[in-house]
Amino acid sequence: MESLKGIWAVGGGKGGVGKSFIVSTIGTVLARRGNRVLLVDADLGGATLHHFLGMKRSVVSLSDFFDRGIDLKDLVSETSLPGLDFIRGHKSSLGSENVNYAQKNKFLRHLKQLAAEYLVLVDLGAGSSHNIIDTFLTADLMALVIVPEIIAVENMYSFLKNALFRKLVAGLGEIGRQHVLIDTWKRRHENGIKGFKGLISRMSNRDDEIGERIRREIENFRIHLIVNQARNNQEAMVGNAVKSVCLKYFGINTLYSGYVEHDEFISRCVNRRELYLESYPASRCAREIERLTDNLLTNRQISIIS
Amino acid sequence: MDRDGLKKYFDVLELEINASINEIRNAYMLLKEVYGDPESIVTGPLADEMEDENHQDILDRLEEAYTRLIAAFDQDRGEPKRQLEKVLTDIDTYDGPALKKIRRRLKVDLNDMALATRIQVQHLINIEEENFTALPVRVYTRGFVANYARHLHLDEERVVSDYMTGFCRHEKDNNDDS
Repeated sequence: MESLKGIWAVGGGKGGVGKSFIVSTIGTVLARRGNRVLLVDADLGGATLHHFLGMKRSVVSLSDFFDRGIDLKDLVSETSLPGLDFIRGHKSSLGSENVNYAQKNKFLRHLKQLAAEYLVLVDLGAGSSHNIIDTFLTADLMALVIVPEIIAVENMYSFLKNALFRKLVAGLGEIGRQHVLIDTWKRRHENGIKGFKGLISRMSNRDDEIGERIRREIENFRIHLIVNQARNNQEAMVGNAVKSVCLKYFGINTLYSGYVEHDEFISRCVNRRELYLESYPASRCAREIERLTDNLLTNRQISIIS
Repeated sequence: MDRDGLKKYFDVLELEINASINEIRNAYMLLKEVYGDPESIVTGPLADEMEDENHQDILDRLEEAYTRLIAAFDQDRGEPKRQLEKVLTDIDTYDGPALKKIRRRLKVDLNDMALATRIQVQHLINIEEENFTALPVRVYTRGFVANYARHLHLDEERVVSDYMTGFCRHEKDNNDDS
């Protein structure tokens, strides 16, 4: 089997929804299947991924990239699992969120270089800042994690809208027409545009190169949804519901790729510095992560559970 | 069912046109809850995006789509029964010729029936032609006839009863002869 290559980004808008858990376990599954996997903790404000990998300390981290200009590839360290490598997030987060434009571009460039050798899984931070969204949009596979709670859902919507808006601005920027989109949005009240979907449909119905471009960008905007910490079927169905809302209210077609149940043994593993999938390989969560990984690879979806 | 013609209703329920009736029910229940429950955690954050009328619109469309699709499924289910009623108008007794007539009117091929019922074609022919001597003993023939009736969605009990009356009469005549 040929090893997978490329960049997968996992975001979600809200902190604490389990992005790091999802990234670490999907990474474990893919590495066990013979892929060379590199996990990158790009949560600059609150790096936590190392906890899910059972790692106490690593000599190098993203701090060395941003503060000392060391190449990303020289910051790769091994985990206890063969085939699973890791770049640790910022250790000392003083002022670390203030990554400048040049640094961001260099970071994305280095990520792409690493993606020629690895399947790179990027664990994004919370929020919808430009740096986070640009990293997200660089990825070949974009996934968003939510938990069945109103704040997580709201933050995810916000992230999704911001990400698409930025993608459209960038796309139109290539033909020098981004100001049309920005102006239309700014003057939405005069233009009679209600909400985000109104903007999207107004722009994509345009009968010119702008409309054509917008339609193409939207078609390429494939988002995978993941529901974490579901306690029952009804909570798992939040994924189906959110998918419907994204289509009806934002005009965004998402894929509901999978859910993972709530499992209190996860935090126990973190505290003991154990890998969850190593300690509980036969758990329901473990099976759900396998299925989620398969669905991400094949674009399959979770259908509505009765 | 004309599934392509119903596509817009499948679209409203966010389903593919080959969805099953269960999938239709599940989608309807979920979407009704999502857009009908003011406390929903999924639509709650959208207060700014959605207008009340818009919301009611969605619910109305869901209701219409569900009603139309369920009606289409019901019609499909009722169809064989209605067809049968037409076919059976002039049938008094289910004897061999009557069965043959019904089968032909329903355009059921003997070979297809043989495959589905796992009864040899020759036996099926013997049933229709009332070649009683060529048919197996009573208990087997009874089973064949029951199977035949079931395959055509006929009243199994009545068909067996009618047919076996003829079969037994023949059996009795034969015994009397010997």
